[in-house]
Amino acid sequence: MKLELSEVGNLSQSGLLGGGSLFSAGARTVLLDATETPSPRRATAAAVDSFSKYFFSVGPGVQASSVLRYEAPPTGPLDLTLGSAANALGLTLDYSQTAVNIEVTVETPGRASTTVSKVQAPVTSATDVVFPYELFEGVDFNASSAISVRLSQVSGAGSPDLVASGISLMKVESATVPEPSTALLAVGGAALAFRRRRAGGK
Amino acid sequence: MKHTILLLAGMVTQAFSALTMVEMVDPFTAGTPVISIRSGSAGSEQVDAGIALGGSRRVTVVVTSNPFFRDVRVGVIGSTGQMFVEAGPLAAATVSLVYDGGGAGLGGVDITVGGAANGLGMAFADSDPMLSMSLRLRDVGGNEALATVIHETAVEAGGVVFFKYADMTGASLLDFTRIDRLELLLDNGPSGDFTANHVALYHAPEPGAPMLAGLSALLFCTRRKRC
Repeated sequence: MKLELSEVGNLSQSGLLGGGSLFSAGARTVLLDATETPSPRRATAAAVDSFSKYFFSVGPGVQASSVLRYEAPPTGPLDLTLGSAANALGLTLDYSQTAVNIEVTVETPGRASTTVSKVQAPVTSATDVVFPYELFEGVDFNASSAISVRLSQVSGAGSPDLVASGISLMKVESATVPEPSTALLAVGGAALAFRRRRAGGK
Repeated sequence: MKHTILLLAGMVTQAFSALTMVEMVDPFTAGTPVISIRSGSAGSEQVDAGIALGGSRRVTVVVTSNPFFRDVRVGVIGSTGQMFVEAGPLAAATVSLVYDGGGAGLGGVDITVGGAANGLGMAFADSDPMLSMSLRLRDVGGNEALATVIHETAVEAGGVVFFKYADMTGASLLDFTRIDRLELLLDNGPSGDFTANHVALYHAPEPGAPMLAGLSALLFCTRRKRC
């Protein structure tokens, strides 16, 4: 499927997914939204089966974003932990000419959706951009109804041209990074201990 | 004294970077249909009095790499006075702009405009990084001069990629007052996009002139001991 906008507006196209996907029997929707399109430049978003790739291309001066949205089948929500075998969602970028803003939104029935975003630097070889589940607050990954991945340009970084080869569920080591306050506390504690030792030695 | 040195240093920097447009070569007000290709090459010729140099511009696009068969689009949009190149993800192409009077030759145009211009430049509205741009000139005697500039960072809005005649390879043999053919070759690498506003002849100040002015002013101040 290919979407192309040469004027301000938005387009979307949905299709049922085939086998080999967690969302088999669910649906994938590709959306393209342009807010500025100096004529005759354009933005395109295309999922090309023959290459198994997703392309997002924005012309000079164009302001646009694209969303890949995956919905669970009517039979019910999905276990995105795969029985605790997965704890993160990854977008595999094969190439990105510019820095790109990536927002992942996970929806759980009966709860507000949660979005986590990252700015990914330019990519020249396959790179997994990982979103650990622990970054999403209030989401029940055992029963999720939809995932959306939104790609948009980073202000001042130029017009994006990117190639992605998949979205996958993966297992990663704990992504917990010490909070700055915790680190400061540790440095403070060490400094205090050092001072006490010096004072004791006098 | 300290303030004077800082002020002069600022003036010198500004003078080095200042370009004065002397004459327009192509304001891109004569449009050409958008070329959209995925492989091979395509071209289009535009004959229009609005093209100051020789009344004709030939645009040729050659796709050099396109692993995912994405579109490469090139056009001159007369209504906005801009030329643009838009290449899909990982698609690469070279684009040439030729001014040669529609193949008949320019017949000996003075691109120094009686000595007022000392270089040629292309002004940009935007560009992706790693823009490679070459200027090839041929005079009526068949002599050629060539220069290439690689702009590693994005060209800022209004920025001019400038070729100084004296710095071109072959400049000593070329008669810049009797030019027969002018070609600009642009290669923006994979996924390279850019928008250009015009091609023009410019005058760039000689580096020696502001430097001398600055040194003279400094000397004057030092002698008076009152700066």
